[in-house]
Amino acid sequence: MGLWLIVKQELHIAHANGKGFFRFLFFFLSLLAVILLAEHFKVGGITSYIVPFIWLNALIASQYSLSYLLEHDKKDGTWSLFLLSGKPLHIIVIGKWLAYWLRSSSALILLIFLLRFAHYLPEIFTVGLVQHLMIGTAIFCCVGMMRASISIRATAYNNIASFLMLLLVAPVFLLSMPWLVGELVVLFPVSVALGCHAIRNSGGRNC
Amino acid sequence: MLSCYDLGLKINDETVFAGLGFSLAPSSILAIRGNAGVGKSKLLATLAGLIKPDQGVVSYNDVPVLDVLTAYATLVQYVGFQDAVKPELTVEENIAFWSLLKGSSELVPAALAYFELEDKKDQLSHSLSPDWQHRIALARLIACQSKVWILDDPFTRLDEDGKRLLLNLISVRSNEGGTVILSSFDPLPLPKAIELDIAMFQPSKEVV
Repeated sequence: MGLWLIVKQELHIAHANGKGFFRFLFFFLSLLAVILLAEHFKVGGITSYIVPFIWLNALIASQYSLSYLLEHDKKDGTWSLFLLSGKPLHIIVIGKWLAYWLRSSSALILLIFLLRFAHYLPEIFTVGLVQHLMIGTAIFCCVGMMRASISIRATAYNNIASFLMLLLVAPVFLLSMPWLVGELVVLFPVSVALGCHAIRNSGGRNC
Repeated sequence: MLSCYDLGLKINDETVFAGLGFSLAPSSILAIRGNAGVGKSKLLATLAGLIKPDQGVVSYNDVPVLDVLTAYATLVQYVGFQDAVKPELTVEENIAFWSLLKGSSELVPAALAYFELEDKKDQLSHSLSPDWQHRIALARLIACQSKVWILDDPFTRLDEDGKRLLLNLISVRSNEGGTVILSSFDPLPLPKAIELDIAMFQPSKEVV
């Protein structure tokens, strides 16, 4: 109940301030349109770099509204109320993570099916890419949560956090599926724990 | 009963307060007085369990609150200096979310009615002035029924009508057995209120 409430609220707020599903989809389609125009709508040309294009979008989408993940809640006093909501803190962090992942990945998955429909992606390739992307964007979101948690405690760590993020997202482009699932299994609890730590230790201090 | 014993807090090695203690029976109202920046908000956050004190302990029914924080949180409603009002949500959504998170949204209509927010309930919060946004934060006191209210300077951002409503609400809550702790610059027209001057628990600053 609590988890669903938080996910619903986060998605609602993101949609209301224009950082929801349609914003992401519009952004991806705009980029795609630019590429298509540059290629004069030659299908053969675009298929050679459509996959890197999708992965670049996945990375951008996952990091796009990163600041919103924790900063706004800290500034407006929501953290204090979350701490006193009576719900375990990890439920709150997982809710925020889940909403963030749904927001960034769902538009991308739809984009893949649109590309498949327009024959820019071979059918045999589509399912594998979607599976890979689901795990890949989840890892991006974990890394995003970790970065937000570290940098919100002390902005001095911002550069270190960004470097850490680069190291952690690199395997998504290099490793095969079983390794990625392994990375997600490790990163997910770490990102949730860091998120809880950031909220617990800054929620009251922000008074 | 909410109590604290030998409570002390330091921020950046500077003592905010030390040796602070009191016990509050149900129906008590505690008004924490002091000038701006003396540490009233920090004390309230410590009593709410949001800040871990450097010394001493805050207890509820003789159990340290930090040992049972999740359970204690269900008993406490905190209105901090920031209102935690999301500008993208309507007035009603801003109240209902927190009451649902605490269990039930049954009292949301009553909360809206009491703070005269009924006709504004579908408006986005950012369209309201700061005093009306503060009413949204205060309406959560009714919507999320809790035994202990901790209010950080709740009167400053209210108009006269809002102040009257809040004073009446605090009196009613106290008569129903609730405990109210609030901070204020000025004396409050609450006959039952016990006043605590935070300056008494701060190290004296010697003038050289």
